[in-house]
Amino acid sequence: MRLEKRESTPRWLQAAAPLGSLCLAFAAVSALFAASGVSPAEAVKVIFASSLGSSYGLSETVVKATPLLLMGEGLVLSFTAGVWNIGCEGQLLAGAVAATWVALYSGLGGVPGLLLMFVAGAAAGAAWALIPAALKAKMDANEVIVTLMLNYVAEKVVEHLIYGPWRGASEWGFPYTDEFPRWAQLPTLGATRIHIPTLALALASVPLVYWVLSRSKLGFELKVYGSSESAAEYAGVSKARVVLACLCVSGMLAGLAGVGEVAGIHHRLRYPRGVSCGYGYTAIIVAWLGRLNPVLTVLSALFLGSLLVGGDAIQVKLGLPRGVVDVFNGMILLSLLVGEVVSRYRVVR
Amino acid sequence: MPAASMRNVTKRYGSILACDRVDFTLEEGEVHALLGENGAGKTTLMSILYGLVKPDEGEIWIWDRRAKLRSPRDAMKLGIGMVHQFFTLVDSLTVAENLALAAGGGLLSYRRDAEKLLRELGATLDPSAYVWQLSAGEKQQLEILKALARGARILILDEPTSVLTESEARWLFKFIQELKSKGASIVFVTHKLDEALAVSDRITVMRKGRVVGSARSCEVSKRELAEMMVGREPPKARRGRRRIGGTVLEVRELAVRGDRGELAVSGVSFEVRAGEVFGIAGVSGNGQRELAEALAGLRRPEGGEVLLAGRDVTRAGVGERRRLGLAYIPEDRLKAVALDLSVAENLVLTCYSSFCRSLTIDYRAVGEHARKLVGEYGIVASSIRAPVKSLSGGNVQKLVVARELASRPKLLVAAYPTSGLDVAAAAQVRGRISSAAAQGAGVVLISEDVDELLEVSDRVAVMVKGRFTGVLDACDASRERIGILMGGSVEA
Amino acid sequence: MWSLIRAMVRAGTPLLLGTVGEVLTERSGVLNLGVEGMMAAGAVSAFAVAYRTGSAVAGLAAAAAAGALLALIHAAVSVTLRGNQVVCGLSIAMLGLGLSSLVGRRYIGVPLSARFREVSLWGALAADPVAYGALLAAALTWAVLWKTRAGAVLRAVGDNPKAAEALGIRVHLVRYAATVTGGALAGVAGGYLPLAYTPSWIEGMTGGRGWIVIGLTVFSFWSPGKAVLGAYMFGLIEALAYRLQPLGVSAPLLMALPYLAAVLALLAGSREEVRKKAGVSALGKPYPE
Repeated sequence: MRLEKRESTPRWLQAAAPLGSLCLAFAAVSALFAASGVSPAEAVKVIFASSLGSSYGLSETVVKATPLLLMGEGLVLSFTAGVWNIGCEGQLLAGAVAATWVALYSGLGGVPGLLLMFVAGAAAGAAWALIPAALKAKMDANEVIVTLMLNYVAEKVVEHLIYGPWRGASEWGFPYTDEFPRWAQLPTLGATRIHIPTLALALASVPLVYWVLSRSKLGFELKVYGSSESAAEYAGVSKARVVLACLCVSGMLAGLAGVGEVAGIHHRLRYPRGVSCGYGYTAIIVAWLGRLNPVLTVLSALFLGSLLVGGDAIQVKLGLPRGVVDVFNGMILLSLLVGEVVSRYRVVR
Repeated sequence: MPAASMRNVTKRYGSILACDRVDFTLEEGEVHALLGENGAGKTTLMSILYGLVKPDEGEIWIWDRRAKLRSPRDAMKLGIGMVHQFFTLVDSLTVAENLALAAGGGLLSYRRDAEKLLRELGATLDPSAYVWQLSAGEKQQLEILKALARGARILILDEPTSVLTESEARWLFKFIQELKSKGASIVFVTHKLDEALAVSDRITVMRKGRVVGSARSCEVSKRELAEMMVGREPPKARRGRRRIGGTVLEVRELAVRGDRGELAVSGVSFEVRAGEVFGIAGVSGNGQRELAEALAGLRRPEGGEVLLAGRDVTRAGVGERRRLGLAYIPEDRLKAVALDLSVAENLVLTCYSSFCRSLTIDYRAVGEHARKLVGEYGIVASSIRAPVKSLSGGNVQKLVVARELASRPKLLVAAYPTSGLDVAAAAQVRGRISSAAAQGAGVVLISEDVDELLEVSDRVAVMVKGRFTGVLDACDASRERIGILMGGSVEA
Repeated sequence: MWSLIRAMVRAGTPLLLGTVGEVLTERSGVLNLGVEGMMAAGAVSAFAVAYRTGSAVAGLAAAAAAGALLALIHAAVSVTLRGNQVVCGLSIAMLGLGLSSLVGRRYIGVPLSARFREVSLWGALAADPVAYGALLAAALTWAVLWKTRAGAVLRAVGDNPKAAEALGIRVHLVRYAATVTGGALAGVAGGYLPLAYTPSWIEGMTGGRGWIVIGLTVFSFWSPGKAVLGAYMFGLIEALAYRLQPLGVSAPLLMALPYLAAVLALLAGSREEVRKKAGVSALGKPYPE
């Protein structure tokens, strides 16, 4: 018995594989919960009730889905070209740091200040991604490792800032910066925590990425490069252009997500895990689950957003630790991978 | 007792008869050359002997016992070893380690065992040298030693000198004699007349899948062998007069390095004019691929110049050359298509910029263009949106040819454009290339098929070990003359 | 001064164990990004078993088993199913971290008495048995890789699996063995944390060490000998980080150095020639395609 590549994946399998994967993940997580002394049925109830069962829950789902959608769309572009940006977490933090500087130390205010926050955040995210991009374009350095390592460098930079030069004067030694001034706190939708500017950017990114992939010249080049590096070289597609575009755009979107978190939710720069609870890694799942399709990514962002909200709820209601969300994420990603193998290969005797 | 005896062996690939009722006998302790042009069936025959390929008919007897060879493992158990043209060595390991992997040896004592083996076989290799440090000749020595270490007494060498320098080849011949004196029986597959005469005791000539003759080396002349290899002169194909225009390609003293750092092309100079087909003959592996890549802009030359339509493009990339009117059909067609993309997208792969309006691509125009070409060339695909990986090899090649010719190039570089195609498709491609020339393109056609070159080209150059051994006008060229030039002798 | 060296050894030991394991795994051609998860699983298993049985050795054995089990999953998906090794490793990392958090919740705040204590080798130079074991593991790995036929087989599989298979080597089997061993070592590295470093269970105990291991593997050019140097160097940085804080040196920035060092090493090691010399040409690529 061995595995053989399929020439093409039938339509039904393309749809069934991710759904099957989700079921597999669901079953596995239930088993793990049961083995851990937690009733799976109870957990499911809490997750759905908290994220979809109330209007507040739904709004919280949108709050979590906003950064996921921003970064997910960027990763759709990047992964289509086969450029593995694992560094959204660090790029998000870079954007958060830039926004914090504008809010607290730039001396600006009002609308110009607000605009500068977003521009600076986007630029910072793109710049953080520029490092692996340049290294890959010039020296063929593996972008997976570089972006991964830079995540942790970014974390340490944030820690240095909040414990050191940017430590809040009024916060009794807690690792926060000062609270942002009012102009730098993003407007929210009614009584919810949904921060409108970032949500608008996230929604705008969907048609933008769709247009790039399906209509633009760059999108064509991304697809060619993602299919075969040697065919891309043969066709005269510039590797440097593709790599730089992918990493900088996805870095920019991650930077914007960082601005949103820090200016829209926390109103200060905090300990890295407090700013982003692994959004950068969850975004990878969002892009994969959405099958690298810009429109389906909206659905997968909402789905994972609701899981994150549910994860928070079962921590509170069932006394489970923070890591339970990692179990979800890990299991879903693993199952998606297995599903992808099933759709790419067939078993042959 | 003969070491190996192949009787009535036949192998068909579709409609092509690769081996046609072949009888071949290898006597014990002899060096037997298997001589013939490319495509004559020599490698297929030996692949059958080594268990890589199953014959449709025929029997194989090893040491007078009937043998059933289902895989190379069976062949190795019977003491048959084959050394291919490509290397199966692990570069980052030493000579001793590679030998140990092939031949076994103790967990801790493998190095000493390997050194002992090297001494016994009279090899000159340094056991602690890393394979990536070895020259091609030394690597080949190691491949032979690997086979011997596994107990091979029948050794098949497939075109061994294709990667060797002159002196390495001479050393190889000496080594072969030594192996013979130690009791090995050797088949030496080659297309070079001189070598076959120099190294072997007996020569068997194959042509188009059949054994044409067999003789003792001391009893046969070079001319007789050439005639056996090449056969009677086929009738010359009628070629229409073409209008020859100005120079589109000028190559001066071109030198190009190959992947292993060796000089694959050296001192090549030639000119191609509009409307002219310049053919390059020669066994693949003599620098043709590197030359094609250097002309296309995918490989930086070490020295020399390339001028396209009067402009110096020696350092220019492939994009710039395409803009100046270059089209390129590469040897490896998988490099010329993006498998996951659709037929329509692949048909504009190299000219998508001309379908662009500012930043966007006009996909409607792309679709129309694709439908036109699919109809014109008869590309079989379920739809123009089907991914190219669902197409057969022949249709992929048709797609590549269609795309490259559709751009109305000034210069077409085509490397082995008909390889792997059936007779009808190959004829169609040849016809298209001819008509592209008739419409004013200059064509560089690289091929192993001498008949094809004679049919389509105006001039034919023969490339051996990175140099042109001669450039003939089509009316003066004959298969015999080309065959002799391919054997290495240089024509003044 | 001696206390600094002892701190360096204590900090460097989990890094060394993890790196030696990852070197083995990567030399067989498999990229394992899940080290952090395997370490976390090892840490919680070591704590749980040591707490219940009172034996530190049993805890360490459980840690190895936990790491090996996660590595088995990674091998099954990456090698047999030929799934994307990057994504697989990341998901195992998440899974390991999450599971350890889940299992460890009832041990928060519980003190552990079973541990490895330092044994003096020569005067003030003392280290616990596991630290000695780590050095032994590195030496043993070096010996196996370069002096035995098994090591040549492993390196062949990681450099040119096609040639290896042509020689009759079972590529998949070798990769499984290397990956599972690497995972066991990662588990032991994690188990070291509660058993010799901090005698308790804290969430996030592994603190990113698994990611440093991945960088350290590249930094040491897949050589166990250089891994020893690198691990202790990074361990020294960790030991210094808090000692230098009163002097105004920022601890977090110092802790960023290992990750930056890994990026720099990657630059130096990225070119084809270096990778060819190191002999890991097939790293990360599924076989057969």
